Amino acid sequence: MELTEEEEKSLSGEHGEALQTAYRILSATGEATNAEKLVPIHWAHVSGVNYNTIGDAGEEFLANLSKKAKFKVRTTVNPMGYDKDSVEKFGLDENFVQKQESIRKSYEKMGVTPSFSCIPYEIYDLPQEGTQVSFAESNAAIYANSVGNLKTNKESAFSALASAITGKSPYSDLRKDDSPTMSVAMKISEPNELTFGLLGYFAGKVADKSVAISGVKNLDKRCNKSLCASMGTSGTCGKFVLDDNSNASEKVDFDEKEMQKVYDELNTAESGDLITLGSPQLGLEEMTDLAAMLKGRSFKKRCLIFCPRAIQEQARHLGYAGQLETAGCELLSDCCTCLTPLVTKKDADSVTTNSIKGAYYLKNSNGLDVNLKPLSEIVRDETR
Amino acid sequence: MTEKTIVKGNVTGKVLKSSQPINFLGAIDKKTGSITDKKHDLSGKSIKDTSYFFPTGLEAV
Repeated sequence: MELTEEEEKSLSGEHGEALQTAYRILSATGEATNAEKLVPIHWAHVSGVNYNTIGDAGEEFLANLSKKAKFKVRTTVNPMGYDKDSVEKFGLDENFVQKQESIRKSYEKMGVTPSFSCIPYEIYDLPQEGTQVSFAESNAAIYANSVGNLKTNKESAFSALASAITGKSPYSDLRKDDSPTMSVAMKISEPNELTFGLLGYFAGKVADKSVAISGVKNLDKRCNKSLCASMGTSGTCGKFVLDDNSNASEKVDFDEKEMQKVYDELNTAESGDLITLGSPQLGLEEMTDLAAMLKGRSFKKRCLIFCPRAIQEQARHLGYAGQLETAGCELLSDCCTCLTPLVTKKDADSVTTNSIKGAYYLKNSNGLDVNLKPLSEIVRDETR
Repeated sequence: MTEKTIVKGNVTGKVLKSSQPINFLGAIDKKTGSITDKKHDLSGKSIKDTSYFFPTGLEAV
């Protein structure tokens, strides 16, 4: 990879240790992905925030880095482990809270916008089409590329962090060529968000970097997010296009049989001890929609709803947060289902959710059984 | 196998090789290094103190 004179100087440490670390990360990523140069990026979204995901090594790395590093471009940040407003209800150990606070402070010291959200695309206005960004959260990266027409690779926690510090990213992979090499034909009629989640998980497994999906006209917000999140979970694919006439060389069908296979891999329980909604976090549209679905009804068991703080504040102002709470929901901000320390084997054996991504991590990381259902069925079966 | 030097340094360790992609976040126990994904071809093996060879990583949260 060719570096400019200034970039070379930064890499050799002339501009301090923090920039050197960042350029070492970008230069290694660039070499590994055959990039010829670095390009400016205009927004970084960093992951590696929840103490459950980065542990002591991550906490120490960030504490050290934040002594010198400052973010050069607007940088938003993924969810952490809990909502400080309700953390005492969940009995987390002191060490977790202490380490999580240290991580939060390190990011804030470097100048992060404290969004603690996996759906930055629903909180902030998206820049102009074609803008280069650097998103580490996989659902957000896929959403940015596929719905927002922005350009990002499916960045790692390290590469997005290095982009935040330098304002640059290696020009490779999807930034260079995002044409689909495979086309997946959607063969399921009357799909809901769970169907699109299962489709995304399947497509993410079979496709490489970019995939065309045929047989889908338009997607509502919930289905779009479900597709982005599950695609990000199962593979390396970082973009989809809805296209019935793709000239992709390889074509596969997503039919009832394939859908059942994915469902059976992730659904391991007939019912859940509690319900989680979110992963990705819910946006305002989904919150208002759910409030309407729940009118006059209330949940028979615990229902945790994960949403960004900015969204919860709006929902509270507009009255929807209160309506959801009346229906028995607990609203949690700054955190999400994915790798949550808030739902463990101590609390439940099984969880009901409509999130494929949530299901994957609840099963594999939290060791819980999962009952997968679309939201309409969750409301039908779990409320009175 | 083609190789390319990305980061300089020396390391020794037992080689562990998989033909499957790996999700370091969801499929590996951070404390022990064991592969927890039951569907993985090296399920139950630990990547601790090994040189682990794999085709690609999955996911970023």
